[in-house]
This record gives sequence, C-alpha cells and structure tokens, in this order.
Amino acid sequence: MRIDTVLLERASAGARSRPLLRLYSWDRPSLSVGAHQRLSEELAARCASSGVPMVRRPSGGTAVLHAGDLTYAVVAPTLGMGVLEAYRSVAAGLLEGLRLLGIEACVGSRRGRSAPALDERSLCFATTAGADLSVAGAKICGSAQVRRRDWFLQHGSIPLSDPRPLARSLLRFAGSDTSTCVDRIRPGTSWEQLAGSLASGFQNLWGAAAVVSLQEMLGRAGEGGNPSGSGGCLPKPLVTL
Amino acid sequence: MSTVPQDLRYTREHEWARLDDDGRVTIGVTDFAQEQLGDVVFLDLPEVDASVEGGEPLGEVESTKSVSDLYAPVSGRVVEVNLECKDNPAAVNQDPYGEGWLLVVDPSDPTEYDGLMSPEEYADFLEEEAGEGDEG
Repeated sequence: MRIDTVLLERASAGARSRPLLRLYSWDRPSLSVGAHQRLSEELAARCASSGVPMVRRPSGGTAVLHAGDLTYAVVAPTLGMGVLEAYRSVAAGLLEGLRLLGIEACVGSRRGRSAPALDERSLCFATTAGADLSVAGAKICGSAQVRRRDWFLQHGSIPLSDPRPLARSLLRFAGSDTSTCVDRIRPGTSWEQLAGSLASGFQNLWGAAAVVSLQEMLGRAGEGGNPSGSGGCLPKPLVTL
Repeated sequence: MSTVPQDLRYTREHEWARLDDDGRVTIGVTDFAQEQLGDVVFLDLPEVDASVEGGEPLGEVESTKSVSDLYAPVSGRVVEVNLECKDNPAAVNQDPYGEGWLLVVDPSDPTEYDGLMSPEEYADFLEEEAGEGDEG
C-alpha cells in the first residue's frame, strides 16, 4: 500500500495523466487499518499475539483482514467527480470484471446487519455501505478512498475464500452473515482468474491506451519515495495496468 | 443546490474563507464539499501557532468512505482551532458555514485573500465541475 501512496503522490504532483490499476495479494494474513481509525488495545494485542501485521492505509474506512483476498488499488484523476461518483466510476470496472467471470454483482445499499458488536464495527466486511459491491445482498467488495488535489486513490478487497474462520480464530470475531466470497459464488476460481477478469473489465472501461505499466510509471516519475516499501504486500502475483 | 454565501471567498479545493473585522481569516469547507464527502467522522487540523501556506495541505478531513486533504486558502499562523468541531465533526455537515468552521489564521499576506474566488466565480466553478463530472 506504500506503493499506492507513492503513485498517488506522484500523480497528484503531475507525473501522470492516466488512471492506473494495481492488483495484489498479501504474503500472510494482515490487517489494513483506515487512515485515522482507532483500534482497541485488545484488538491490537490479538493481532500481535496472532502474528497478524497491521498496515495503516492512506485511505479511509475501517479495518480489513486480508487473507486469501485480491486487493485492488486505483489511482485516477477526479475529473470533477465527487466521492460517490468516483466510487461509481471504479465500481463500473469492478462490476464489468466480475461479470466477465460470471458473477453478477451490484453496487450495494446501506443494509448492514443491525448493531454489530463494538469490535466488529471496526471491520469493513461487518457492514455494507453505499459504495460497496454486493451479490444477492451479501457484500463481496469493500472500498475506501483518499483524495489529493485532482486525483484519488481507491483501495478495495475482494475475498476469494471466506476470511471469517480465520477472523474468528486469529482475532476472535464472531463473523457476519452480510458478506460473501468468490469461491462461494464461483467455486475453484483462482487469484489469477479473478485478476485477469478485473484487468479486462477495467480495460473495457478505460481502453487499453488509458493505462501504462507500473515500471513505465515509476521510471518516468524519477526520484522520490521508495516504491519497494510495500508493507506486507506480496510482489507476486501482481497485475499492473 | 449547494449554498454559496456572498460574504465569503473560496478555493478550487472547496474551502471557504472569511475576512473578519480583526483582519484574521476564518476557514472551513463549503456546503458543496460536505455534500460530496458525506458524513464527516474525523478532522486532522493543525495546532495553534502552526504556520500554514496558501494552497498547501493543512490537514485532512475523513468521511465514512474517504480521506481528503484540506488546503489553506491563505498563508499565515493558526491562531484558533475549532476544538468543538474536532470533537463533533458532524458539525461540518450540519452547519458548514457556522458551527462547522475549522480554524482561524492570522494572514501573512493580506493580498492572498483578494486572490481567492468570489462567490460568483465559485458558483461558476461548481457548474463547470458538475459538467466535467457528468462527462467523467
């Protein structure tokens, strides 16, 4: 996620003009925490004792347990779009990618389970918000955004497998009935298949010419930042458009 | 339709500024900004006596799904921070031009304020942005 922050900083400083999509996974179960989110000492202690690293996102929202998920990052110009319009713009690419995989999702409405336990409200997948994606009413993708001048960075997580057993065993969350995962809808889907479909979805939306490679981007941007400081992100599999 | 008070000046990043009788400048985010952000849940504001530079980030505002930079409309020294609003960020949504003010700056260059957008210019800017958003 440090890479994503660097890309946003460079883009907002004028280093690029086109949107960029990164898709990655994590080398071990990790908790990403919202930019200003305060976690209880108890939850922080559970993460420490379970060997779950915590990463602070630049984007808002609540904590996400990344365990067998696909994490996406979109860095794109706002083009005058407000927060929800930008969410809808990214959602169009995600929905198209999921559709190519045979998953019919929609932009979710605010219909989270009523009164989750205090600690569970800290977890992104415990509730469904207006900008999230759902399949048959169950949340399949949660997203969060940060904006710098005329650019925004949006993070999101799509679980391939059900992270709730791990959340229960590692963090002692009871879990939520409001979320789902790719494997439950399309069993046997690999990370690479999901990543490939999402990449195609965004290319259909933005056009192949609308994106450049990460290497090209970082090479052109010159000095500044440390793109290799990925803070728990696995360098492969990685798809960058 | 967002409210654009006539006695304020504005930035492209949707902050408002008001030149007070004592020469200081009160700063907040506009009605348009709070509508776009949604429910504001956290404000990261500078301390009193901090220096801010016109056009540069001075803090962050976080809503339920977004973190956005706040930009200083003018340069100067922070002389007051709205701690009540910091404790109750919902005030930004409820009363962006009143109880939701964020901070007061003692400006170092009085001409900066005059260079901000007038209400008419800001209203035109909002229309332009709405047009771009429709296309985007």
